[in-house]
This record gives sequence, structure tokens and C-alpha cells, in this order.
Amino acid sequence: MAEANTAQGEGRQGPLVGASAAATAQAHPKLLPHQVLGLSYYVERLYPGDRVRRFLEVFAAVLEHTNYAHLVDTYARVGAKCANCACACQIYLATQDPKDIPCYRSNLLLEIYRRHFTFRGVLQSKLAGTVYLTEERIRELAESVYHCTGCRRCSFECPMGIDHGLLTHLSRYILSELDITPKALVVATREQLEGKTGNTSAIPVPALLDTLEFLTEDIRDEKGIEVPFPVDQEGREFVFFPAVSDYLLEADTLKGIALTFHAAGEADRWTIGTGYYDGINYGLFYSDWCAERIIGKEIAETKRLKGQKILIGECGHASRSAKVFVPSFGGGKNALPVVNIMEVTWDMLRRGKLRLDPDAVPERVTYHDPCNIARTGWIVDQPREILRAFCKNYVDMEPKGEKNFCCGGGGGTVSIDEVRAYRTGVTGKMKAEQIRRTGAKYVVAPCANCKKQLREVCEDHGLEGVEVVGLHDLLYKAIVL
Amino acid sequence: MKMESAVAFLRGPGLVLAFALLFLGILRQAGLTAAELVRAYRKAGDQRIPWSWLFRKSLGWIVPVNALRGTRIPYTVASATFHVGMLAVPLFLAGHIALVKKGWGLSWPALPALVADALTLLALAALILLGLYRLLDRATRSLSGFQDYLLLVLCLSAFASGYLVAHPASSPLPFTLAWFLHLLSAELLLVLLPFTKLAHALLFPFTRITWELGWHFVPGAGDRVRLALGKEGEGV
Repeated sequence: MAEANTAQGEGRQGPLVGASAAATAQAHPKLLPHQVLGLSYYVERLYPGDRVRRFLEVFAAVLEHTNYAHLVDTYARVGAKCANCACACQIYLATQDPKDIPCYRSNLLLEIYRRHFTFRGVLQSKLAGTVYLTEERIRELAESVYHCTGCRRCSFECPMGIDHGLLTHLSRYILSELDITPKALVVATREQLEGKTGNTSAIPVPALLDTLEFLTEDIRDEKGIEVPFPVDQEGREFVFFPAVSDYLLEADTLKGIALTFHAAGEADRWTIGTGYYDGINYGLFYSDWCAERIIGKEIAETKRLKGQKILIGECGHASRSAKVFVPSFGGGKNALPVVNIMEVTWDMLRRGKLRLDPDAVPERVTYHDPCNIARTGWIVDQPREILRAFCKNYVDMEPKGEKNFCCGGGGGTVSIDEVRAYRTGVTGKMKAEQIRRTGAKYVVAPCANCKKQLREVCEDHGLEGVEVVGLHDLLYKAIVL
Repeated sequence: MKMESAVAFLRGPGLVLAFALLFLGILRQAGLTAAELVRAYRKAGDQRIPWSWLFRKSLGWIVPVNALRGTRIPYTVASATFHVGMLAVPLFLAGHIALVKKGWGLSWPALPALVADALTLLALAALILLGLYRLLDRATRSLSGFQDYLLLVLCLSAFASGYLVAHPASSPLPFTLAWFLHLLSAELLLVLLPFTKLAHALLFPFTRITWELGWHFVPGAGDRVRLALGKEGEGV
């Protein structure tokens, strides 16, 4: 791998490098870190030294140690600049701003690679006597990659097979090592990896146990049966990791899951572990380093309880991160299998273990495919088969499945509250129109991120009467005991 | 006179040089790609590669019928048409094969002249449509740079002048000029192939496996990156 072309930055303190953050911060001592760079999201702090030089050092280290080098090098050569991806991108379709074209965004990073890490680029810089990368270019990249929701819809359209979503992920990873990451993501991940509670919502074990007891009481009140949540049971098939926020916000989803296992007579297949109970992995959004450490916690807890499989709840990014990172970081062909709860429920239904009331939900129902579950074609038909079994008035959105539109809050952007207007107004615009066209009362979104985002989209777009729910929330109504 | 000596150069040493550069460029690309793929594979934490799925995915992209299912149908149809012409005509034109036979004694079946003509005219029409997209479509224009226009002009020139060389009777240009233009643009394309975005002609079969390996992460890489950056022991 070529050395980073950083030497120039050292010798040439010209206006490009010199006008860096240190100078800006001195001139405006009261600016918050994100204001120094002019970002729309909050960051905790900024790398205090020469960020241009640091960016190139990080890029060089990442190319050296990870598996992105060949990918970046190939993509830097083959980009056709055809803009087919623009037609697939809901952000570009909403803004018509050329800077929102996926290929443009990817090229921000690829051009840095071409100019600083290839022979031709270094020669070009030496001859021209300039440094390509500037603080302004870092700013543009940092802003751009958090406009993208990482939905990867564009990857279907690129004739060269460029995965713009992965390049967005890589850009965010490089930026994260310069501390340029939305504060909301960093704070949650820090609590998960280094905090007392060890999960992103900071739920301590006693509170978790209280919640589970409360949910059991709720089921008793509503259904008249005792459905305990299995905790710390050893040797079960599944160890369960939902988005931990579900324990605070999505009681109905969890009740539905517990009732499903119970009704199928298979409650002894799963358990929740008190050692670790969070499926969220923001590493997928911004850091390979965090991703590996978080996935290590899921693997360790499953092994501690002698479980056979990692079971992820209704959460898109938790499912995808486990599906990708468990094999990568957990031993390849010897890694624990990863299963999503919808696959398990579908399998129970297929085996005739679940009796459902076909008239349980008379209202119109539609299904939103979370990108991280559907884009690769992993889980598309199963939830529809489950829904059709008890929803008389089921309609699909168009497009759907692998080619669905993102809820608009993907890639961690849903957690960034300060960009809500952008999230619902721009990235969520397409989804709002899709939902409106279905005329559905219930939008089923089996993903914690999508649920939060879609509720805000419905609120901000005046979609009154639409209820965003999980798959198991509705199933809970339909199960015949 | 000058034009004739230029043609003589392009037919002789120029052609050899163009092919030599093309050959060296291909060697470089092939070597780099093979080395990098092996490197990425060996570092990957999960070495299971879904070969048949990747193969089907790659094939899926080059079946022109798929173009009819995309979002930008005129563009993709034009692109597919152009690529068929670009592959078939230079390789299977009777005139080209005759030249190769004269030089190296190799020969293979040629396209009927009528088919070659039709493919050339279709490719020209497709190129004009692609050019219109580049000039008029807001998204495409905003991404376009010098290279994108240069390669388009070279392809147009190679096909148009080639057609005129094959049909001298109906050509508005003097024969030598058409010939000169054809040799120049075709040889420039050969030389530029490995060093510009045309490299996709060589790298295309590998883009899917490259993508797949990109998602095969390297265990411990995050720690090593932080060690290299002097961030060992620092928290999130």
C-alpha cells in the first residue's frame, strides 16, 4: 500500500492546510465543535491538531489493516459517472441536488484516495505544488455521509457494482477516528461498551427484570394466561437480543414475541441473558472497531448461556450487523448462526404450531421492508405470509422488498434528533407518499429504527390515523390460545 | 503527404506501441487485482465465499434483457446496444481479421458485412443518446468530467470514421483523413483502456467479488488501526 501523501502537509504550511480548525477555534473561542466545522449534527469534540494530516494518517492505517484497500482501489478506477444511482436515491429524488447523487458522495472519498494514495495523484500534487485534501473537503464529506441513510438501494443501479453504502460506511469509519461522529451515536455506544449498564439505553439489570415482570402481568391481564419471559436459561436454542430500547418503548412487540413462543408450545427454545441483552450495534453505522467489540459481547453472552444461535428481535440494523459481523469476527464457518425473530415465527406458522384468527385485524395493513433485512433479499416473503394469515386487508407498498424505499432514518440518522426536520422532510418524504398511497391504518415495521422514524414521518406529514407497529404487536392480537 | 505519413506511422509503429501499452496495462491490472484479491481473502475473518451466487450476479448484469427492468430504460438500452457493438465490431470485423491474419497468421470467423454495418450504426445512435444524457441530464452532467467527454468523443470518432473507411464511396471525407481518424481514435482507446475508467472492461468480472470481500471484515483490524494511530487504550 502506498504511503499517505502527508509529507507535503508538513513542509508546506500554505493557506490550504494552515487555515485549519486550530485557527478557526482561536478566532471564535465560543463555537461548539460542530459549528467549527459547520456540521448539522452535534459532535463531542474535534481532533485538536492538523485534521487534514490526521485524516490521511487514519485513511492510510485503515487501508493497511482492513479489507477496504482493494475495494477502494477498484472503485476509484471504474466509476462510470453515469448517474444511474441518482434515479434510485430517494434523497436525490427529493432534493434534485447533484451533491446528493450517491456517485458524487462516493467520489468525495475516492478522489482523496486518487490524489493522495496513487502514484498518479501524488505526482500530480507534487507537480502542481498543492495539497488536495483541505479542511473544507473533510467538512463536505462529514456532512454528506450523514445525509446518506446507508440504505444501499443505489447498489442495484450501478452498472459497475459500486457499493456506495459501504463507501459511506468506510468514510464514516475514517471520520470517527478523528472524532467526527454524531454525538448521539457515540454516547450510546460508549455506555454499551464502557458504561455500567453495558447497553445503549442504559437499562440496568433490575430494571430489565422489572420490565419483564410487568410485561408478564400485562399478558395475564389481557389474555388470562401466564407467560413468563425466560431469563438466564442455559442450553436453549436461542439467546435473544432485541434493540434494547424495545424494553422501554416497544412493550407490545416483546409481548407478541413471548406469546408466540408460548402459543407454539416452544417457550423452552429461547432465553434472555442478563449478562448482555442489547442487539443494537452502531458500529455498522460508523466504526468497525466498535462493531467488533459489540458483536463480541453478543457472542460471549450466547456462549455463556450455552445457546446455539443468536436470535435478533425486530430490528433491521441489529439483524444485519449480526449477520455480517458474527461470521467475520466470530470464527467464519465455526461462527454461531444468526436468526431474525421473523424467521422463527414464520417457521412456527409453517409447521402449523400457531393458530391465528383470520379476522383478527380488519383494518388495512401494509408492510415496510427495513433496508437492512430486505435489501439483500434475506427476509422479504416471510413477514408477508405471516401478515396475510391474519390480516384480511393487506396491501403492499410499491416498490417493495429488495427495492423498497428507506424509512428515511437509516444509517443511524434516526438517533440524531437535531436533524429531524431533514430526516422527515427530505429523506422521509418518499416514504410518507408511499404510506399515504396505501391508505393503510397499520404500517408494520419490524425495526426499532424504522418505527421511530416512521412515527415522526407520519407526524410531520400529517398522516393522522396511521399507526406504526411491529409485526409481533399485531400477531399478539391474532394468536388463538 | 503529411497525412499519409501519419497514417503510415499509425499503421506501423503506432499500432505496435498501442498494443504494447495495452498489454502492459492489462498485465498491471491483472497482477494488482489478483494480488489484492488474495490479500483480502487471506485477511478475511470469514472465508466462505458464495461463488455461484456471485457468478450469477455478475452474469445478471451483462444480460441486456435486464436493462429493460431498470429505472432508466432509454439509458440502459443505449448503453447495452453500444457495448454489444463495441465488443463485436472491433473483434469480428472481416477487415480487422484480415489484418491480423496478414500480420500474425491468426484467423477466426467474421461478422457478415451487413451485420457489422448495422451494429456500427446502432452503436453510433446509442453513443449519441448517451452523449445527450451526459450533456442534458442534470444528474449525469453534474458528475461528468473531462475524461467522460473525451472517451465518448473517441468512441464516436472510432465508429464513425471506421464506417467511412468501410464505405469510401459514400464518404464525405477524403479516404486518408477518415483512415487517419480511425487509426488515431482506436489506438488512443487501446492505450487509455487500462488507465482510465475504461478499465472496467478488464475489472468488470471482478467487481462483484471485490464487493463481496469488502464485506468480509478483518478480525482485530480496528485495534490495529488504533494502535497505528497511537490511540491504544483510549475509550470510545
